[in-house]
Amino acid sequence: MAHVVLESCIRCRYTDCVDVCPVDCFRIGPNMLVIDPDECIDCAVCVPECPVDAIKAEEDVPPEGLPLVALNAELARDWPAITRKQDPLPEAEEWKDAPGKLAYLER
Amino acid sequence: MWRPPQKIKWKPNPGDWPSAEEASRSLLFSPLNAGPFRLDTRTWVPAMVPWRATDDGFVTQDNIDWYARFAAGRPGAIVLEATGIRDIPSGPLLRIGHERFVPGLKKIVEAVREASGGETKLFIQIIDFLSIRRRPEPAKYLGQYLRLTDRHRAALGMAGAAEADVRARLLQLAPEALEQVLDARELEGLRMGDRERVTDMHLPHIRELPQVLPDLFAGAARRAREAGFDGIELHYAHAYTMASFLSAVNDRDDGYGRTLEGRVRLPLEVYRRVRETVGDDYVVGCRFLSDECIPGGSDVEDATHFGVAFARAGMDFLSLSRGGKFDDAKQPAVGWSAYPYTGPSGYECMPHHVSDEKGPFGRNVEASAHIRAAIRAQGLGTPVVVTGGVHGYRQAEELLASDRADVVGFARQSLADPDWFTKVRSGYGKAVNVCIYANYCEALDEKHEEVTCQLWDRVALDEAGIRKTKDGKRRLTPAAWNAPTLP
Repeated sequence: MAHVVLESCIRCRYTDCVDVCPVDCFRIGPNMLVIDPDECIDCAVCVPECPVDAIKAEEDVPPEGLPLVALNAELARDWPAITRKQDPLPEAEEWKDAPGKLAYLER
Repeated sequence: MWRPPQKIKWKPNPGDWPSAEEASRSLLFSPLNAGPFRLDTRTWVPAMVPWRATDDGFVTQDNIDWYARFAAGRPGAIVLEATGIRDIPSGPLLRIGHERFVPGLKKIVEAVREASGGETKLFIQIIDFLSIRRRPEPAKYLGQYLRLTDRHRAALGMAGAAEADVRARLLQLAPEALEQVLDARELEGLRMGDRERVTDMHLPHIRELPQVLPDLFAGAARRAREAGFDGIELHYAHAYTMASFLSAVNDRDDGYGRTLEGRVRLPLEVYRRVRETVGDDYVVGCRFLSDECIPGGSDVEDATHFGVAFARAGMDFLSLSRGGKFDDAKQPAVGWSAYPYTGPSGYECMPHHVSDEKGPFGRNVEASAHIRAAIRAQGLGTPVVVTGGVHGYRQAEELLASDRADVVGFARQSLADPDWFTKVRSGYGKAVNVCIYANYCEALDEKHEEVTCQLWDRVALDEAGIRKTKDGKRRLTPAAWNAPTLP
């Protein structure tokens, strides 16, 4: 049980969430962030920070987002921690409302 | 941080709130008079470390504002955060080990008096702790800190080898191979950071703790009275020195360990020396554990024995906590020290909303009530403060009405809303910001960052004159609350 970064983050990676996390549980990949479910304390402080609404509590993840629950856990093991906000990816604005971004996930 | 495997999500359930009229007839908002221990209401803010002191242990304006803000909500009592009794560097934790700390502490006393109109009593929690080191870089530990002995040389088959060669060999070893060479304490030093224990009898300063601690506590107590505090809470709980004497794992062979009498001996001697120093008309109580919640640790029957002993010795109140030990703490990251609220015992101390069937609310009630009943059975009326996940009025009132507590403590709930007391008492309970028990505050504490609550630390950040965290992103105290109409 934890919070999960959904596919809306892909190719945007705004990172506003990182600054408010009290337990530094975000991990950074080439074009998205994930949450380490073992570290997340479910405080939900990050949820309203995301400009693309990419973060949800595990139990609120819609059926189409379920693969991301396992992906967050898997990728968090390999990706490094991010503890400070960075600039979004250059193409963030054009991709923020795009559907079906999971196909573009880079590992 | 450890969480129960059941992972059941709990939501706070404060129940309904009383009208002002009902609250005025309540036990919770009735006074308590027990000798010098007198409270206007039976509500209590337990000690919480907010990380606002200077690196030299002095009081800052942020400390003063913090306590004034709690006092504005008018609880019956506030216990000032754990304040060190020694005059040694201990980072940004408050200290009372020397006269130079008294003027700053006096300012907190004055601020609390003013903000509460004299209604809130202010006690100070005084603490001793032993040394704990940060988890080292393995290369540094094996290459430098580890004290090499012939035992290591023998285990490596390097009898008579030069130190540099032995260290070079250690650095090449895989973790499993190191387990064959290092003993348990050395492995702990490598994986967790070295941590002193009260049972380290080979260390003179540890062996002599029973000789030095009574005077150190008594000196701190004298300064506390001088600073104007209403009384003292001896810190006999969690992972620290005095709790370690009480612990069932204390096997000291000098009469200060092993048996229940041996383990409680120093805590009683400290209390007596403090009492002699401050006099009979001053409040002295303690906070201790109803259960250590570690394998082989003290259980509720041990705690009952201690509680009765403390009450019989004349303590003015007993405040019960639970768990919070180093013994089962999680491995910290390199460069960080172990934090005693990360293992199962830490969970018992500050239970998170992701819990088990028992849930995070009132986990310490049963044990506390058991101890209190044993004290009453001895004909002793010592007031008992019960804490742990209490957030609603009905729950608190029921604890008093069912004769399981004399005072109810609200730690995280008062951090979430220091106006809980005023709001509930004036019939505005609906306006309470109810704690969600996500332990955001605890996470900040673990990182040694200024502790705030997620329910208020980003509200009205543009308010004039407010003080913020070093990064400017969080306010340090919640905005003031004004009743819609004054009661």
